[in-house]
Amino acid sequence: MLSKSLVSKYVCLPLVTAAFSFLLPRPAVAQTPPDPNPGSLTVTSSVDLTNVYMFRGIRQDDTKVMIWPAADIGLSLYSGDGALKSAALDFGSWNSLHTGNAGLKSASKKLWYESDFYTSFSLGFAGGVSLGTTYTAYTSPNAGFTNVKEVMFKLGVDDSAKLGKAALKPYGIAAFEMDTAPGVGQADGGLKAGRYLELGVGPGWSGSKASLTFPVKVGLSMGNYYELDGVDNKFGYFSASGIVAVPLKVPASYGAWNVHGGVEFQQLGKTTKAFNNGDAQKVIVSGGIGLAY
Amino acid sequence: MSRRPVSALLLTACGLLLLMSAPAYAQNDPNPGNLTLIGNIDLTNAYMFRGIRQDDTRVIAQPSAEIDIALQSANSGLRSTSLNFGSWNSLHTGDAGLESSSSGLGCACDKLWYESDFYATLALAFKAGSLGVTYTAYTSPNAGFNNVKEVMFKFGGDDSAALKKAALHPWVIAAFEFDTANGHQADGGSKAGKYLELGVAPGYSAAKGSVTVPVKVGLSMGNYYELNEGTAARPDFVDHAFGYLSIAGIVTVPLKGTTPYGAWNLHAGVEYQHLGTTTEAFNNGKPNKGIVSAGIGFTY
Repeated sequence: MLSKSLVSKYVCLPLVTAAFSFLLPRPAVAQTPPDPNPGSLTVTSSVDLTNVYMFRGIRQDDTKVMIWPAADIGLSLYSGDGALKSAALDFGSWNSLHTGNAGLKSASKKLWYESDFYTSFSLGFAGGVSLGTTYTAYTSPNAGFTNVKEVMFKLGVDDSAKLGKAALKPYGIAAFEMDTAPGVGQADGGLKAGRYLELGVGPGWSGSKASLTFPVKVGLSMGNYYELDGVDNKFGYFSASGIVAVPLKVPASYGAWNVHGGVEFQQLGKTTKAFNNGDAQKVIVSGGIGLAY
Repeated sequence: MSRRPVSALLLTACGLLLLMSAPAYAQNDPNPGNLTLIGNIDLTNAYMFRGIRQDDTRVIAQPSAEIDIALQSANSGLRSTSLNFGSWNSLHTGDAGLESSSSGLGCACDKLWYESDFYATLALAFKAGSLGVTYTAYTSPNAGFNNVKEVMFKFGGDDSAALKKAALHPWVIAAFEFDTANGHQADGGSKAGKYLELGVAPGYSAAKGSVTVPVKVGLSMGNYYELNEGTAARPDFVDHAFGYLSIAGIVTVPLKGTTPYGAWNLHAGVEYQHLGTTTEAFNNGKPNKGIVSAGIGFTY
């Protein structure tokens, strides 16, 4: 039910790019290896392991180990120096394989709990402002949940040019479920299509051998996103994380690889607490390997 | 349950096209690194997996993507080594998919996604040809069939230097199912199957397109085409050696040569299959099948 893991979200797309730019030791220009992929297509991929899978605060599984393979192809459609700096189209797949209660130990005994397909159109503007529109189909090959269809808008600001190392990189997400019925096609299994709001920041620090990111976010219901017994509870969850990423020394012709790990704490709201067997907090540990090419 | 009849052979065609446009590609290669992307989306009227009918109702869409990692290259001996990972999928709008509740097939839940395969290949290229070892997990998100696991060996001969335009590009495939308890087999039979395929793919390439005419025969080396000639209560599985004969024609037309987005093509094909005893039974008693397919593909 999640289009990207927290670690992958913060590591595999922006951070790997950042790693490519900032983390790798910078040899003299004359020694810089040629760009292996100067064309207009970009591949990002990752495989992560975690102990808990929470989708926007909604517990999916917290038994045994989960594996999250993901791949994304990005098409650069435009780049320029005007008000519109860039336009890109992305297609990707995110998957969750469960060895515990939602997978191999479920009634179906099938590993593959979730397979998401998404496509995203993103625009980059002057001043570090970006706007993305994403359609996601969340599906469950082992029938762990009914398919969910969603359109999401994300507005982000890269304030590093103004704030330097103190940049917060704030963002806001608004997501809307569609094609729903009571108990069908909704993350909360509720009665009505949900509208989700997320506000967050992603400050970080980059060094020569590693980078650290500290994402903090809050998930809220703008309407029927966190339904419990017919009542929508506004506050979904609060999340604070720490993520470390270390670039791997592989030949540049294979792209930029990294290993990464993270710890996340979630404070849950009324609905998400109920979905978490009455526990108000959750700690998530994850780690994996990523590629940007 | 398998990779496509047309698109599998498109790699050959695409390879020919890439060779044709090599000078321009060398000057404007958008991706000189060691990773290569290949993607296709095809539409077809019938999906036959090695002669075994999966669906022949309404339209079937078959998207696929592969990433190839070049591990080594040389001018002699072992000329190249690569590791390839891919996903091939089959989306059905008819009986095996969106109409499964009325057909009673699979989950009977009207879900589109009939098949999702994951595969990994280690490919070695020599002067005389190529050798590939592939592991494939065939899975069905809408429970249309039981998961099937297979290891496949493929040897492809490169006779283009000797025969030039008359080159046949022959190949041999040997595939072995494993972990097959409870019907986890392509034929749903009683024992793990061993499959043999022999084929050739002569073709012709010109500046504006290419034509390939693959011919192949699929055989059972053991229990690959089992047919229950008993009853459901007292099954009697009999293996029939001849699976199917296939003759196809494929046309591939490149789109605008190589671009910053890679080399794109349009392709279309017609395939005729003559079926054996088991596959004929799986095809509602009809010994022949005509398949039409078309799509768009890219290599980057």
